[in-house]
Parts: sequence; structure tokens; C-alpha cells
Amino acid sequence: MKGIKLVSYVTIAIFLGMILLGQCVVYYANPYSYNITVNQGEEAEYNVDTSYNVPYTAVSMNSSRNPDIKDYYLVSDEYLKFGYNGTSIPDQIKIIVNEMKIYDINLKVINSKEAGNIMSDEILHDSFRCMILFISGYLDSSIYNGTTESLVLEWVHSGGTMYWSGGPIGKCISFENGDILEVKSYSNVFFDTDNAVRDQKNTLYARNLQEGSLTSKLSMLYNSCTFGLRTETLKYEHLSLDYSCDGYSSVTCVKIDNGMITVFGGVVDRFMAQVIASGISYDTKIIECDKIAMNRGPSSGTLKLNDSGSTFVYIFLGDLTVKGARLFVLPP
Amino acid sequence: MNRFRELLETKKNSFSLKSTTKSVLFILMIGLIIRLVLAPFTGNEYDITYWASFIGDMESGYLLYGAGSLWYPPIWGYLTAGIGYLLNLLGAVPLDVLLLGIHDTTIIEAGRYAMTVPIFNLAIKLPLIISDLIVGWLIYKFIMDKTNDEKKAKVGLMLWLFCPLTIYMSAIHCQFETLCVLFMIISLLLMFRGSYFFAGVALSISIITKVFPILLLPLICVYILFVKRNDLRYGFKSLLTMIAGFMIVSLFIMLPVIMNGELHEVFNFLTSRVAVPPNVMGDELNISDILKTYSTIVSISIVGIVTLISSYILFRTHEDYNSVFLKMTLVIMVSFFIMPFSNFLPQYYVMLIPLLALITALYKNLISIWAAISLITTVLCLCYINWMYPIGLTGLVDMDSMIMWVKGNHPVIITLSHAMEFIYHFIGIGTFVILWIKLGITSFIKTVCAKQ
Repeated sequence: MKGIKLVSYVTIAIFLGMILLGQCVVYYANPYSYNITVNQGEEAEYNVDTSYNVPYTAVSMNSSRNPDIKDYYLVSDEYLKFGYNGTSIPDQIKIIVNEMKIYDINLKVINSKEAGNIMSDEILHDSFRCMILFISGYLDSSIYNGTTESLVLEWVHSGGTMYWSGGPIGKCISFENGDILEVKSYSNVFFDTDNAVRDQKNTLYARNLQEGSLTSKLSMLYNSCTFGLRTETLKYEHLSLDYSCDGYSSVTCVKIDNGMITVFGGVVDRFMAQVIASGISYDTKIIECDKIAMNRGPSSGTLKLNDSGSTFVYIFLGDLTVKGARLFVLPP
Repeated sequence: MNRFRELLETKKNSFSLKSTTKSVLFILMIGLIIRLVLAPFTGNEYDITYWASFIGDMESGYLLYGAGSLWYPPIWGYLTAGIGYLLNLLGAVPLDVLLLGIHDTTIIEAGRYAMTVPIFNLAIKLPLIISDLIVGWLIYKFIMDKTNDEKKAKVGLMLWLFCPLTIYMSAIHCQFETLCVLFMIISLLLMFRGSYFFAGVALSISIITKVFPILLLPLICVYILFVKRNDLRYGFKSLLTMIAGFMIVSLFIMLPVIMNGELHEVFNFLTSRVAVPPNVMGDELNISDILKTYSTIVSISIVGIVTLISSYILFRTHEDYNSVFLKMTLVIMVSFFIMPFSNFLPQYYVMLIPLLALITALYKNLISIWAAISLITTVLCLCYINWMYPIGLTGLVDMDSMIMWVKGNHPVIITLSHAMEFIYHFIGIGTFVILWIKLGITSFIKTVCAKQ
């Protein structure tokens, strides 16, 4: 029995040692740290310093829309526990709020009334520096009445930045007493065209990522088209990412007068964060892209810039899953 | 002359010991080779992707339960995080290419699954494979020490090591039941040897790994309290020592989870098995889901009753204390699977395999139960899970034709998996009844009642 005791003790000791190592990795030490800086000259010079092996991508982009967002908000009303397709709202909030932390973005949860106040305030001061994300698939009656006269649409047309997921955009108005009202011509209300929004509950996923595209270079892997926009029907300027199915796009950024709506074709997913954090909009173009297969320690490089519009540099660590990212909006 | 004979005997014994050790090493080596061959190019498409995602999440700065890629108690999370860190440190695997996306293929509807590269598959399965070997050796050594019969000991070893379900779980699927088994066995063997503190330590690791041995707590308490019939003080002292070991290590493992407010996430996998599934996408609740949920709840109640009866039988037992304890351990574990249509997965049956191996080698031939359980559960797993994806990476096998043979895409596989699933639902109750008869539980109860 001595052998049994000895082997048991050694096994226990080694195993507890491995547990301690895991605890250190997750809780006590921070072995996965990084630092990213960008200096602007004629070109953008970036420095990336990582404490572990990780690939990274540095991209310079430009667009006519300034991606410099000051405050990030997510709308959630207490009376809604489940979204349009039955998914738990608190679970979805947890996913996206935690994911945005990786990008060093504090996504604040507010209710529709607070969102309404923010929208009114931005319209009043003609200053649009925040984004508002809707995830339930419903719009509260305090900001949306099913017509173009709604506060949310007035805000977007004036210059607001809206992100949408969870259901067909504009189809359902929710009321505090739990009632849901369906709007018939919601596609017209939002996009001034019929049948721009997919309105079927069966899930639709796309797999058509194009090599070398903006979607691929920025590792934007959101691929649900269930409630996506049919881009061929859109009259407004827009950018749709690669993943599309039956003509419906998974992610579409649409220019609405001075503002922008980005429609995600499904429910909340961690891949949404990359789209939001990178600041892409309806006319974003990549100027230059550096993909570094593997990096450990300090490394640097330069990226070409462009004189027209807003120029920004986005650097993210990781590939299929993003480990950290920073957006630098460069002064003109 | 006598002294010379003694010396000769000792020499002979040491020689036979060496050849015994060699043959056991040979068996262990075969077990190891089988697993090492299978490990790199197989994996459960769902679970192993999650383990790789989990490592990615740790790199992103998430805590253990932050990203939702771990819904088990923390031990497997710690272990995976540690393995991921070591792999990154060694530069052996660029962690971010662990997940080779299959978004562009026609395999997976949701496009979220991915294939993991062979070196990762091997690295993540290595602790499980080593665990299999240690369990095998412990079974062998325990039987040898108890019977001094090498044949019996090897039977026990081989029933564990070459059980298809054991091989499948550690070398193919990559689920960590074997770790739970390892520390359950260590705990029981240390308890038999009176090393109660470390028995408590091992039991704590086992329970926090995958909870199942929690079913044995009442039986273990009774065993320790009455291990010396005439000395109840010794029993209490031993029990307190074991509890101390259990508590100290539990605190060590759980402290960071508690400190970071993640305690409520620890038993997600368990609570979800007994929760009524939500009404997703407006569909009506599926009758089979409801059946599974309530079957699971009834199963847990049955386990409670069987545990009480088994503990009482042990309490009333005065002879063959260890033997009765082991048999009752098996009875309790089997009662967990008694209800047909419960939510329990085939992999949980691994918990029974070492007990079946020990009892078969030591007391009663339970080979038929062993064979039925290991074959039915393994075939069921192989039919339902896309375990061959990583083989596709080699380019040796065409992915589309491979898919035809798994996950119910081929008529033969569909028929086989339906048949196996039907039998699977009744394997628990069947095993329980056969065990009841073979182990003579009725006569146990009669004896106990007669003594009263």
C-alpha cells in the first residue's frame, strides 16, 4: 500500500500545483498584457508591445464620418426580460458589456427614457458624440411610435449613431405594461423602401467570407442574417460586410441623412464588439493594413494616411477572437 | 543452508516482481499508445472548441466565467488556462490559430464551431490520458495488495484501461470525467489505508471537478465513523480530519472564484440539467425536453433514497466492511442513472467503470454490465458527435464523405444511433436490477433486518 500512498500524494501535489498555475493565469498574475501607441506624422507610426505570443493587425482607414465616439450606451428596459426571438436580455447584456471591456470601452446600460433624454440633448446641442445600441428587437413607445416622427428617427436623421440587433428593426413597439404593437410599414419608416428587413424567425447564418475584404482584414466574424437587411433594396449609401445569405446581410451600416444605423442581422454576439469598436461606417475604406502573424515583445511599423475625411488607425490583437484593441482617431 | 534458501527465495521473488512490473508497464504502454494515436486527430467538435475558445478568453483578460465559455466547476478551467499559458510560453502553438475556422465550409449551420489543431488536441488531452494511466495503476496495485493475485489485478487494470468508453472520453472526446474518477479512486484508497486528511483532499478535488462523488458523502461518513466498531471516538476524529482536508482544499480552489463574485456560475452545468428549457424562438416546449428534465429530478430523488438505504446497510455490516462499502458505492452511482429519458450524458457512465473493474476483479463477475455500458455508451457517442473533424486537417480524408458517417447523416448510422439511444435510456435501470440480483442486495437487507 506504500506505492498507492506515494503515487496518490504525488498526484495530488502535482495537480494542486497545476491548479495554482491556472489560478495565477486567470486571477492573480496578468500574463497577457499589452500596450499600443500611435504617433502621427506624414504616416502613422504604431508601436505594439505584448507580453505573450499573439498575432495583431494594424489598419489605417478613412471615412467621411468621424468615428470618435465619447459615450457608449446599451438600451434595456426592466419590463423586457426576453428579446424578440426569446433570448434572455440579461444574458445578452452580460455578453456584450463584458466583450466591450476587452476593447477598453465602457458600455453603459440605460433604459429607453434615459436614451430618449440623451437623444433630445444631442439634437438640442447639435452635437453627436455617443452611440446607442438596441438589443431586444423592440423599441420602447417613449422613443418610437411607428412613424418617421419618432424621437429615435429624428435623432438618427440629425446625426445620431444607432446600432441595432435582436429582431426586425422598427417592427415592434414595446409598452411598459408588456404590450407589443406591430408596425406594418416599418421598413419604409426606417429606410424609405419596402421589404428591406428580413422578417422570418428561422435562423439564417452565412459563411461567405471573402479573402482580402474589409471584413476579413478586420476579422469581423458576425455572420447571422436572420433579421438582416436586404442590401439591394436600400436607397441610402451603405456598407454591408461579407457575410450574407439569400441577399440579406449580417452587418449593414446605413447612412440616414446625417446619422447612421448599423443593423446586425441576429442577436447579441461577441463578434459585434469588433464592428462597434473599430468605428467603421457606411463609407469606410482601408488605406493600409499590416497583419503580423505572431508577436511577442515590442514591435513597430508605419501605415499610410489619407488627407480626405476622417482618418483613423485601428489596431487589434488576435484573429478569430480579439484579445485587445485600440482605435486612434487622428486629427486632420 | 536455511539462510541460503531464504536468500534464493528473495531473489526469485524480486525477479518475478520485476517481470510483473514489466508486464504491467507493457499493458500501460499499450493503453498509452492507443490514446496517443487517437488524441491529435480527433475531438468532440463542440467541447474541444470550447476549451480552445476558453484559452482565447483568458488571453483577452476574461475571468473564469466572464465569457461564458466555461460552465463547469473551476478545476477544468484552471487546468485549461494553465495548459494554454504553457503552450503560449513555449511558443509551441500560436494560440490564436488554435481555432481553424470552418466558417466557409458547409459543415456547421451556425458557423461557430471550429477545428482545433492536432498539437492542441494532444496537449489538452494529455492530463486526461495520464489520469487514465494512474487510475489503471491504482486499480492494479490495490487488487494486488488485497489478493496478491496478479491475474485478478491485471483484469482490473485492463477493464479500466481498455474500456472503449474510457478511451473515448480522454483520447477522443476530451471530457474530464477521468480526473473526477482519478481523485475519487485516490480518495477511497487513501480512506481504506486510514489516510483521512489526504482522502478529504482528493474527495474535494473530485467533487469540484465534476460533482458526482458528492453522492457518496453519506456512505463515506458512515464508513469512517464505524470503521472501528469499538472506537467511535476514532471514527469522529477520522471524520473531522477528512473534513479538514476537504475544507482546506475546497477553499484553496474556490477562493478566487468567491472573491471575484463568480460563485453562482460554478454549478451551471448541473442546474441546467434540471432546468426546464426556455421557450426559444416561440416554439412550443418539446415533450422530450420536459420528460428529460423531470426524469432528471426524479433520478436525483431516487439517488437520495438509495444512498440512505446503502448507508444503513453499511452501518449494519460487521464483516467484509470494505467489500460492502465498494459494492454500495457502485449501487449508489448506478442509481443515478436509473430513470429513463433523464438529461444525463453517456460520458457520465465513466464514473462506474473503475468500480466495475474493482468489484469484478475482487468480488463478483460484472463483466456483462461492464460490456453493455461501455459498448452502448461509446457507440452512441461515436454516432452522435462529429469527432473526426481534426482528421480533415490532414487532407487524407475528404471532409464531406467523413460527415456522411457521423452525426446521423448516413442511413446506417441513423438506424444504429436510434437503436443505441433507445437502449441507452434503459441501461441505467437494467444495470441497477442486474446489480441488485448479482450483488445479492435483497439478502443484504434481509440479513440487516434479521440482525435488528
